[in-house]
Amino acid sequence: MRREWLNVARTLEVGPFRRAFSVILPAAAPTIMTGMRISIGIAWLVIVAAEMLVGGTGIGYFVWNEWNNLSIANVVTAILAIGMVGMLLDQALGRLTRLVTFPE
Amino acid sequence: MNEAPLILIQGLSKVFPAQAGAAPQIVFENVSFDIAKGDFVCLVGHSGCGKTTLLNILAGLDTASEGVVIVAGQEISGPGLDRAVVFQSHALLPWLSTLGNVAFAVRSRWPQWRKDRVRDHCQKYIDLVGLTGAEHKKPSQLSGGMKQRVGIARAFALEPRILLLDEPFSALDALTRGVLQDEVRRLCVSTRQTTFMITHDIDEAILLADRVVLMTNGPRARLAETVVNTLPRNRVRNEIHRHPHYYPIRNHLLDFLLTRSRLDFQSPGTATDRLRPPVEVRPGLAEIEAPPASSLRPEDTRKAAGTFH
Repeated sequence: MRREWLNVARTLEVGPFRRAFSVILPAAAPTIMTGMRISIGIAWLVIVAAEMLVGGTGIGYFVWNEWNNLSIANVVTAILAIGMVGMLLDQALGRLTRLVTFPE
Repeated sequence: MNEAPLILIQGLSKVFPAQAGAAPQIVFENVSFDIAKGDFVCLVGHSGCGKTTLLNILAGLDTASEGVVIVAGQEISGPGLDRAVVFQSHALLPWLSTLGNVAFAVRSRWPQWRKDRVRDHCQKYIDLVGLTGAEHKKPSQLSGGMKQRVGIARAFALEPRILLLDEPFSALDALTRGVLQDEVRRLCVSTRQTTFMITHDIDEAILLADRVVLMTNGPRARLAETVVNTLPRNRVRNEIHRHPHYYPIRNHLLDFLLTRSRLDFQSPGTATDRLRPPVEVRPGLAEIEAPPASSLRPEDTRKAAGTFH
């Protein structure tokens, strides 16, 4: 966020709502999206691990269950699926980041 | 001047409060001058004398420690749409196109306007600064000069009472600067725009300004003189240097920046000295009224200018 952008908004008597949505949000959007992209990877990892521990639902539980069933093929498939989903999430957010990024 | 001046600046001072044992720092004090409607006033001074601070106070982005600024009979208390600012670093919003940047300002000024009316209004000013065809380009796709043009279009599109220019051409190369100066001069004369500009550049001041306000070196800067530009109003760059008033004015300004601006700092004088209003000088006319000796040698000019003190 650059001081001059806020100064422009101030000299134009832009109200607080308009300032928030048409100056601060667009200016901060790239940083927000990058932050989300980094944290979604970690979130996905933690979700799978938590499902393994808690059990009952989800792909994490499925991996644990199939391991106990000695069905290695299913375990490997599930691990690949986890990887795929993580990659897709990351790419989707990457696209969104590119949409809101502006070159200075 | 029959009508009251549009802008009245009275006894303006700016002091930065004391920090960690150091004494409070006086940037400038007792700055008083006025700007009439349709006037183009330039403020010239060395770096650090508080020029930008003064402009920020006029824009309402900063507050003065003492003194008032009165615009059209009303004291200003904050930023407002009646004053448009062109920033030194263009300050465009990089995620908006040229049109978007101008429209952002226009929508702030006239929120009730319909989309097509905003568009037409923006287009008019974009055409005026010669950016036709670049409406949908982002600032990063524009050259430095074009970015500053967008900034100028944004300011003019507000149809402000006062246009404030903060060294708008200092970041540009010499060629672009020349072209833009001509454009701004043309726009200001044709729209009778009241303008206050800050600059380092004497030639820029002579070309653009009707009056040049000179500030001494900071800290504790003050207004020393206002120099009336006696060149004809319809001056153009490639002819003004042939006008008999040109060199007297230029030498006078240069002498001020090179020597006299410093004297004040070395010997600040008494308190009453510092309260004296700035002298009004007409170096061009002084030269013309002087005896017809070969009049353009700098020594003579200095003498002629000196008689006013």
